[in-house]
Amino acid sequence: MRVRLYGVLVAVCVLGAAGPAFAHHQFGVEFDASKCANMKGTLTAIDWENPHAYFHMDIKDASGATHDWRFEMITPNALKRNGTSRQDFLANVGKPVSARACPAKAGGTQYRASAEFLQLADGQIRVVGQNVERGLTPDQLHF
Amino acid sequence: MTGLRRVFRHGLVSAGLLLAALCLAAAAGFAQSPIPPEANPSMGGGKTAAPVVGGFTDLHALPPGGPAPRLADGHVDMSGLWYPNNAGRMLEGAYPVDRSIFRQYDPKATPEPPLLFKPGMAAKYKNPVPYGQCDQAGTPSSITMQENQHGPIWIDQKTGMFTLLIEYPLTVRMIHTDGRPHTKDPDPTFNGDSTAHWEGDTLVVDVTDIDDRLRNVAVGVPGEGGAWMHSDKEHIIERFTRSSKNYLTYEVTIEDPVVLEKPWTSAPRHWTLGPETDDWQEYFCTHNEEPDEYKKLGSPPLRPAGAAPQR
Repeated sequence: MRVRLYGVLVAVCVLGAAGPAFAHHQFGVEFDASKCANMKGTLTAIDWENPHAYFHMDIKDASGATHDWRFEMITPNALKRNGTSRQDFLANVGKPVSARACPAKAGGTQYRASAEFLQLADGQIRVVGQNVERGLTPDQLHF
Repeated sequence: MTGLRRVFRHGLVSAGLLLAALCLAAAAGFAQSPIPPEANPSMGGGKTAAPVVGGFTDLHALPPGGPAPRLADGHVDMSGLWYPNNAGRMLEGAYPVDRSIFRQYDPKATPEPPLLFKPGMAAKYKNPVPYGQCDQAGTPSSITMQENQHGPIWIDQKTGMFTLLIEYPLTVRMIHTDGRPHTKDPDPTFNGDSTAHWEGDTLVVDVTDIDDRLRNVAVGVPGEGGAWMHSDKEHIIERFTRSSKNYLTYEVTIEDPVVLEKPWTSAPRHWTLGPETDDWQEYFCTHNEEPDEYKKLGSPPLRPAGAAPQR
């Protein structure tokens, strides 16, 4: 895993941080585009409102303690129009899910991140967040 | 200005040092991160077989779709749900979309001119949107800013009346299309006083008396960061044309004799027709982006309601 971490950092050093994203606000103010990662946990809740929907995941840290992570998404209006509804989240509460997400910047709230893609228990990839890692396509994801 | 340059230079140096430190950290071992240890930053190699929800692999620019429909009065009927791209659907999110489908105009084919401020006016009137703000946008920003927001507009047209329902920021405009003169002594409003007439198949909307407490967004300068205030002398001319069943173009001219050296006119920006099964949806902005979060990170605070414009 460490080799992979180095690979990502080298890419950041060579290419620079990811560019600005599309959405209601600028991504870079709150989130760290250089630390986007695949994160696994248990879906616990969904906040379905504008301007951003949020989902919650219980994720274990190194000590084994579980933390409630809150993941920002885009507007529910776009989620719904692109095939992901509030019901999809409600049907997966309590189930294992995986997200490609970028955590809050240093100094921000811990256990908070912005999600790009989400894989629910049905195995399908859902486009849920901003375009942060330019060039990243869903078929490159390996959760 | 010197101070700003110093801050900018300092920022560049800091950014460089930060990046260098990050690279050194990569060599010495990964620095502490809030990401849990089982997280995997790598995208891995090869391709996954997992299907993607949303039909993004079928994205394409819509064909013209035939001639535009007409009302009984003979005018082109622009009614429908319109999206600010060439695909006829809402395109917001992480899926990388081909620019030729995503954008509203080709800057090489129809470049937009630079916005020219009168001497000294740029410093006075340039005014980025504060981070996280989702207040009303007014005319023409509620339409132009969709190049960043990607939301749809519902047009409801009948003889003599053209109604725009903009999803975000939630806006309603009802415009008479019989060419009547502007309201006598109108009160300033954020969408202004509009009247419209037909020039062939183009509906020309003339807007005056626009409240000067809102910014022009994506008007001459892209993005919320390029927003600017206008004066109470601003005059806007909008041109709506439905060139075919699936395509609508919107072109806007801004005149502001106080702020601008000369009028600015946008490119004809493309909008495409959404499916009949797609409805206008509520977008009530709750400001749920945790204001304390970005205050903590040092971003500009929101302007209190009713406060004077920041100039």
